[in-house]
Amino acid sequence: MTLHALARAALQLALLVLLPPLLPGLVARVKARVAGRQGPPVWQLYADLARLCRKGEVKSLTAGAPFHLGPVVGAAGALAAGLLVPGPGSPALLSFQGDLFLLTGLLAAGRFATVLAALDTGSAFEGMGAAREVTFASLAEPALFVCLLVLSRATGELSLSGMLGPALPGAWAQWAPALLLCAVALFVVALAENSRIPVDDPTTHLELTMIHEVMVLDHSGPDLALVLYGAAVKLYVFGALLARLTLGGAGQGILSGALGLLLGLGLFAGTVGLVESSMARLRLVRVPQLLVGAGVLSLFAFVLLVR
Amino acid sequence: MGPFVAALAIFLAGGLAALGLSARPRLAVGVATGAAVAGCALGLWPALAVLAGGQPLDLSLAWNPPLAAFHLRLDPLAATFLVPLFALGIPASLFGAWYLRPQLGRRGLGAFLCAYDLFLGTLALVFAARQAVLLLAAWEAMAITSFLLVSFDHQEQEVRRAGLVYLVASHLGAAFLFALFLLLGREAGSFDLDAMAAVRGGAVAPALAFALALVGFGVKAGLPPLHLWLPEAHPAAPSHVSALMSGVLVKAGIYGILRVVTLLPPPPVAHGVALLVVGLTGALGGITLALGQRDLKRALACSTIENVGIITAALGAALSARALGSPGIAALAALAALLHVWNHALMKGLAFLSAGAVVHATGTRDLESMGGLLARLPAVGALLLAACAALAALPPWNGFASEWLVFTALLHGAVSGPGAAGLGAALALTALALVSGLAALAFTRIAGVALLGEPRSDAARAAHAPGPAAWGPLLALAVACLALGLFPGAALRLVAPGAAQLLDLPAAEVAAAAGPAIRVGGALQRGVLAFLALGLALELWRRRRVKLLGQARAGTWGCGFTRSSPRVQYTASSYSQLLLSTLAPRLLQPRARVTPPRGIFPGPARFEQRVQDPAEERLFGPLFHAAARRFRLLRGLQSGRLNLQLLYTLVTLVALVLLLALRSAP
Repeated sequence: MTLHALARAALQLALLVLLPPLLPGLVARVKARVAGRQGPPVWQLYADLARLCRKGEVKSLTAGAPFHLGPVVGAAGALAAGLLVPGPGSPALLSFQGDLFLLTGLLAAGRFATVLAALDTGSAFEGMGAAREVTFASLAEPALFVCLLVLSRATGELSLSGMLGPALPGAWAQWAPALLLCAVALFVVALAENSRIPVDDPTTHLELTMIHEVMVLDHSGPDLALVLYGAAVKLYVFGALLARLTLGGAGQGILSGALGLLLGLGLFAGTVGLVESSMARLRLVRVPQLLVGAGVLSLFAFVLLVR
Repeated sequence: MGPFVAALAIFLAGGLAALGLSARPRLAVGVATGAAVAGCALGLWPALAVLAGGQPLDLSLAWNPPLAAFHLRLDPLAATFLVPLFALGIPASLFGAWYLRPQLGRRGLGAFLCAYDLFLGTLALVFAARQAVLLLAAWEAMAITSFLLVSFDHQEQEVRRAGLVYLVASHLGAAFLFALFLLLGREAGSFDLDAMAAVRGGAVAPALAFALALVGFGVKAGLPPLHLWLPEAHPAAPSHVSALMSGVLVKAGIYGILRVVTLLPPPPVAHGVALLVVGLTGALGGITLALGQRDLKRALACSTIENVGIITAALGAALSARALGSPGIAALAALAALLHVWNHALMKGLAFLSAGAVVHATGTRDLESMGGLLARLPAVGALLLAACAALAALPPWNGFASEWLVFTALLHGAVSGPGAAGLGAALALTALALVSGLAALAFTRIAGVALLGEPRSDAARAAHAPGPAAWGPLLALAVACLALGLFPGAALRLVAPGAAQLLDLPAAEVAAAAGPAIRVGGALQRGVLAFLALGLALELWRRRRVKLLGQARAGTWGCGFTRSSPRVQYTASSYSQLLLSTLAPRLLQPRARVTPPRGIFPGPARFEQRVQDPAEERLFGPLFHAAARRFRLLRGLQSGRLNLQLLYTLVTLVALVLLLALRSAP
């Protein structure tokens, strides 16, 4: 491995580990500005994480070992999934044919552990949130699969780095409508997977209406830090995928790639913020329709490719 | 072949010895278990040797019955199915010895043990038989011995019903198999499977033979809508028997279909598509049914329908890809299917055995009366949790490895397939993604409601942890599940010859089709290991922080509600309610009867919910009732008087003689 490649890998890792907490800050900032408020600083989550890491924890008397497994596996799964996401102007740290299924598998493992952690507290609210989270995820997953299938078919590549790599500009030239549909569907899936409005409202204060947040009500201290960090990394993973898809990787140079990635992530966070500012959370029974809609949209995109 | 025949002999001898030792139950259990373990260990050796590249083993002995011959053959396809039987047979038998301890004084224990050993032997014979009459004899013997095993607790009416449903289903299925092998045997002029394979079905329409096999073997495999016996029989049987039935017996159905495929001309696309559609229906229907079950073992049985569906779908994809001229994709899908056969045997075996230990400790199979068991039964609970993670196809467990292969095969098809083939692969992939999402829901439900939270009943609160005699054999299974998940490449090399035989491709080509990612040291393995390492590192960091900063214990946050009780926990029914009521097709929705609280001073309220199986309610229920009504008309003939019965016999004989005489007259 050359020095150059090592430097790239180091940059990619550094971005994956350090950048994610910025994204929720950006989203919050956009929301605040749209609402005419000053809002918290964009690095608020970094400060929160540092504070939580210095705190002890309060653990439910009911909970056992799986309670801690949730935050740990959730964060580890998101980070490992991040290793599969192509970096700035370069392929992912780990890339192989069919790596998209490892990505979904890792996210599913994190969700499985988070849900079990929630059920371990024996709380009615956390059970409710857990049931909702898995139910919606079971619909978001097929939609995500079809999105990635469309990408795969359009580029003829079987790995994430391949389909979001050099083959992408050609695919955009040839299959722009299908890829546009796919990008929209992927954005909806990203909103659902990351518990954002219109699927879930991360800022609500009523436990009955929460999905993801209610599952982690009992976590505190380092556990909560891991939960928040894992959620941010997951947002980064989806943001980076969307950034690569829409901006086409923005060249192969390390500098232009990094700039493209940052720009894409900024746009992603801005769009999420605008969506959150402009609409309310959907009624619970409407959420499945939204997710199935996203799946059908991307299936339609696939049909466009096959024709 | 020697060790394999010795294994069969040991099963037979152990069974007969257990029957003879009925008066001394402790010894009988020891002998039967010892014979089962020894037979399995002895049988595992030749099966693995064949898969590791050895020559197929063949044995022909003289056997007197008409049309029959004792012809055994261990070829790669048979060995691929024998390995999970013997591998699961050892821990299941050891667990069974522990499970039967409270039953030591019971009448009929000797017969049960005898049936158990013979069941293992007949199952091995089914896989090894190379002659149709021998195969059918073993098949029927397997059905009868497993019926006896299912009916062990026959004092319960539910168990008797389950046994009856199973027996009827088995025999109806066998009728199709008799027709199938009579047709094939007539064409080949011999009932030897080699002879049948040589003429490739002759004049028999391949579609007819395939359909007969699909129905006849599909009953055992639990393909929809013939899966009806499965959710009945599995919970009724003792847990180690459920593990073997779900892990191996059901796979005998798959094996049968595959064996018939090798006897027929190369299958057209339609056969593959039929398997794909049936498999996907089973996978989606099975997992949706599992979501509604309150009975722990019944939910696991429904998940067996799901997994058999995944295997069948992958085999369908393999056969269609082969027919469409994509041997690489076909090889990948076939490898995925056969690896999933192994993986499912191990993980479902683990799930049923640990569920059996849980049921043993709590005395109930009802999920709603469990809860908090991980704290009370740490070893068994952790093993059930591991089985749930594996069944939900999560890395690093083995379920993920085979599911990854299925997905990758379908992805190849969706990317490179022209027109309808590509779209079909994409749709199948979407359906399987939905199945894996629903599986996550089903298994978080089982693990979360049964093992976590507060105990939901006094029985769960008082549950005592069983000793290592119960969980020791399970630990071996869990290690095997993890090993296959971390090193799937090694297992793939062993199932490759079977897949090659099925697809009629060179074994080296099939093994190479899996791609470099899944090999030992491949990228997939590195990804999974990175995940494990990250998890370990974060866990160590978390422990250090907590040790440094301290941990306080308090009650669960009740959102302002201070009088928490175990009854406020989310129940198994409420957990799956959102999905079942908003998304499941109406046929699969549970029927609920609600009596809401009424009036200013509300009285008691009631909520009742029942899960329906559309195959029973819409198809077989009406069919069997209609048949019963028709047959009632015949009751008048059967008065039970001996002289009348003799008269019937005489009339029948005379009629037959007349028929013969008339037909032979010029």
